[in-house]
Amino acid sequence: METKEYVINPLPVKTWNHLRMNSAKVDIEALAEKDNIDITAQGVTQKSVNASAIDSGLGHEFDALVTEAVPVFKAFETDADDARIRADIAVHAGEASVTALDITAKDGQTLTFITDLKGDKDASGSVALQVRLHAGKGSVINLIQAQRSGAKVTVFNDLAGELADDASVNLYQLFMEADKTYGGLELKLNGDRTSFISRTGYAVAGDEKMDMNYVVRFVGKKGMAQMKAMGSLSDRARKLYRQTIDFINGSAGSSGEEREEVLMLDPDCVNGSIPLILCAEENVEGEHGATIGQADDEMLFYMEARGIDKKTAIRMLARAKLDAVCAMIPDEEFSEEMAAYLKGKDEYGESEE
Amino acid sequence: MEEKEKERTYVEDIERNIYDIKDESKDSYRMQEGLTEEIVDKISKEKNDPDWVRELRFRSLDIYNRMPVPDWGADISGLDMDNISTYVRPNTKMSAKWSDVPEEIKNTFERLGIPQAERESLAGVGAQYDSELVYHNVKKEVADQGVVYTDMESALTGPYADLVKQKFMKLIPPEDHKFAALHGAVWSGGSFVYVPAGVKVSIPLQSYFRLNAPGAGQFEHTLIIVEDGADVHFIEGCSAPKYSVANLHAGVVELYVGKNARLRYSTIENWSKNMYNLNSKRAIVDEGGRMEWVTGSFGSHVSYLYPMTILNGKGSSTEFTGVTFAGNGQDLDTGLKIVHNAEDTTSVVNSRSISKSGGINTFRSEVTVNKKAKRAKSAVSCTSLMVDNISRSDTIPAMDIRTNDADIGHEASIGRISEEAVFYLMSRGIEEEEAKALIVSGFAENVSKELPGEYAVEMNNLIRLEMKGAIG
Repeated sequence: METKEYVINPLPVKTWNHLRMNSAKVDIEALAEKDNIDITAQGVTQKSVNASAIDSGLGHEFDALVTEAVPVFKAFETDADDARIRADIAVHAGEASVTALDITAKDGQTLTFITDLKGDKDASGSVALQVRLHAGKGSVINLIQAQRSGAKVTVFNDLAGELADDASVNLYQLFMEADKTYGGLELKLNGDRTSFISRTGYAVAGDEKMDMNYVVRFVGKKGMAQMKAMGSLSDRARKLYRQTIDFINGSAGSSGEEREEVLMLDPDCVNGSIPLILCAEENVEGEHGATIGQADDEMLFYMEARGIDKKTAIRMLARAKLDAVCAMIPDEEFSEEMAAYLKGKDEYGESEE
Repeated sequence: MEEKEKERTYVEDIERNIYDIKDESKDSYRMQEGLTEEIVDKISKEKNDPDWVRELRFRSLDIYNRMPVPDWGADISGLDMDNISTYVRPNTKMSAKWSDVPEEIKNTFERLGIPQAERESLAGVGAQYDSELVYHNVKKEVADQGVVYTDMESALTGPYADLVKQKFMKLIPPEDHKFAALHGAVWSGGSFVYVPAGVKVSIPLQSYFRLNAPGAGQFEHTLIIVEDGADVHFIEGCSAPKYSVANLHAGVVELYVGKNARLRYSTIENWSKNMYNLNSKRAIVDEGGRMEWVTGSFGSHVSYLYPMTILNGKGSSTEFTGVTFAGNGQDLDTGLKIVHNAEDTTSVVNSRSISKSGGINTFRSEVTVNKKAKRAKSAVSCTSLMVDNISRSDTIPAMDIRTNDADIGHEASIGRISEEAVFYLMSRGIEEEEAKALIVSGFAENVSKELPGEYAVEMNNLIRLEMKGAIG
């Protein structure tokens, strides 16, 4: 399979090269659209829009790769005040597929959009998804993403978007199973009084690798962003999480918060974290906090005292990070589906759902 | 209040006072500008280098020529080595008596308060003027304890020559980065400190670096060895008058902290605002040892400054306390690096930065916890203050954690001066300018409270000086 090297997930501002955090270099085989997407929607119109370059979390090189492979994006619009769209994307053996979706919430609308990357039992190869969000004035977009592609699949999950005045985007992500996961987000809070809340849960195990790059740029005034990532690393898993909040001059009255909780379960796992705060505006508040460590001894003791063996207790603590995000998902049906999947995965090693 | 905030888009910067007084350049030798083999050869001959130093210089030059300019960090495109003289010898030899130092040089250090500080509160002083030490002295009672505090050139051939050869540019080798290589090629001046095992030096030693010559570089080398169980506080100060041409400082500081020893390294950096301060500092700490950094960065046009601590022995620890103040025309890229290399190691970081009048602050850090650093603990706190709307403050902290048996915490925040606090102080009769200076001084108290009294006063004066006019 012929591949080409791409530089993806670039930090907005570089730091020391020896850390190997400035970006990721990845060999990617040629991506192509496949007939692997199933859309479930009520009162929604599907259109086509010509692809154009956009600032996305995975970066310009990846965006160029997507727009070359998908010259016409699937776009969704609705006239309903409250709409739900679900895109199920199947991952098969040996494929290198790409899906590009363009989501618009018109002024005042509430739109729930679900993407579910789900692998067959023998899924392998790579799957790429780029979602572009356009949140109109006073609109709300709930973007819910599940990633359960399979232990032999490389996943590229790329997000880009812009928010108009009073718009909100709420992002819920569950990264549950892939050989390698590359995730990116670049969101521009262009309007005034915008809001972005993200909750990202992950469990990275075995020899899996996760490499993320989330960037939120405050452009308008009085924007608010809260980004929280929580997850567990076990076995020989490696994870690098880049988070950036960028207060551009003029974004007065804005506030941004980055939080990260990392549970490291085994001595051979590796965690990288690089949370940036960039600031060219005086009247803002930016905060970052990270806690990185192993399972709390007192918690383990408490659980063992109640008859739960240590191995099970540790697995439960790791699962709790995903469960916490699962419980926040505002779509009850999908939340329950994911809870059932996680329960099955926990009990049987692979989900019986 | 909001309207007023919008209007405050520019904060006046002010002239510095005593630091900007220039001496008439009366150097006895000034190397031609540029960096060539011929120039390195001349410096080596001028310094009468031992063979290994001469060899190191040429190896470093080769590395420098091959290494790319860093592609991260503050803009250093205004630095042209073809316009920098790498060696300027003042018109005097080093002396142990201030009375032997030429009048104009002595006056410079008098204005900066160095001889007075030596009389009142220091165990020893080294004073470097351009490329050479002009004064070096250590109190007899301290020397009698076996403490060595001498200029670097003397150390190369003195009784500790073998030890110096063993340690010199081993912690920061020329391969480390381009400006370490530059330093290796053209270094001159600096101090050597040796504190024997078990000796506790109760009052600080200080080196003061003054760069008077325009268009020149200063490349002093500081090597401090603190043996097992010893304890010392070393203070470094630096300043220069401002010129319209670029000056360069690319010193190297190598610190060896023995078992259960403690070294505190305090710096008040006040280079002029035409200075490219590309300095490298690194400490390696043995079992149970402790490295403390106290840093106040106020000067320079551009800074790259990231003191690094390698916690190499079980139970070793480090604490970093720093404040950086970036004003008009300054792009200060500062921070730290910490590597946990052994069990039960601990690091604590408390960093503050203030940006005003268009100044740019970047806090850049690395905390690496290696696999064998079981039970390592690290807590990093970084707070930035934006005084106006034309400045910039970026925070770029990296954490690379390679063991699960570690406890790592990181907190960063950025914000502005509390309007409520200013209003409160003004309601009690304090002018707005003074109120803000007070608040900023309080913000920087993490550093000032760690400094000896007279240095804390100097730092607070610098803050007051920088904050003057900072109202809209």
